[in-house]
Amino acid sequence: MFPVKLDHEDPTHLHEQVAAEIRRAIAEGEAKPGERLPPAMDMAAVLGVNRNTVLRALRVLRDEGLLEFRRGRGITVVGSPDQGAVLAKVKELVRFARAHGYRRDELVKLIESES
Amino acid sequence: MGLIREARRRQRRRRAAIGVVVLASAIAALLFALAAPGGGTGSRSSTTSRIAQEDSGRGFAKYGLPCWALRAASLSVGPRTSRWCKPDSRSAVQVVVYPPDMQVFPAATCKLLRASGIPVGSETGKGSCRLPLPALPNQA
Repeated sequence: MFPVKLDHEDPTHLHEQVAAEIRRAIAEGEAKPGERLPPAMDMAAVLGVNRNTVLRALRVLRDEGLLEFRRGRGITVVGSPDQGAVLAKVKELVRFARAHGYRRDELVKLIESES
Repeated sequence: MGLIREARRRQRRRRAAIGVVVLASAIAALLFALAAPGGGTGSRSSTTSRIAQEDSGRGFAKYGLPCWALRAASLSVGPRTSRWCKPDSRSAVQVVVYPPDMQVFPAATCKLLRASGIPVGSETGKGSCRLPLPALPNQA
């Protein structure tokens, strides 16, 4: 039986904990880029959570660029957890720059000057 | 064991269980079909003959005839049984009512009707046959 690592008392949202579990499983090589993930129903049963919680976690990972949803072909791994982490940082940077009055082209120039 | 591996194992088990159920249903359907009247008796013509023998003298009220044969003979088709169609129950006679304007039937239909024990009348050209018009109750 799969050891349940989710903590319902943890202030971190359950779907974020599930996303972290899936992220870790991909990082450990359980599913390589191009492979399909098992159905959310089965992952939910293994983790002991609702299927919708797993689906929400999968959407988070899709937004990170780690997964791809294709109608009729399931959910496939397209990136690596590292790429997802970089993408999350980029999104954070864009939000931060907007909050401080930087336009997109100015932000691009700043990044180019750094590289 | 990791989350994804465990979920895949669970997915395989679920698929296997579905496969077992589908297989059991197919076997049950097959057994039911073989146990049904006329089931598993070989060719269509031998089945038709057997039914005709069992049903002789009573018409095809119980088992009916193959639906395609009735339609091929341009006969009105009544209620459908498990495998067979009966001639229309509204017909005046229950055996087979030949439409007055369709007394000459093609060769394939003649062959089937002979195999079914239905009296076939004089042959015409190209294997077709003329059937004797049965006496309707109001004509009898």
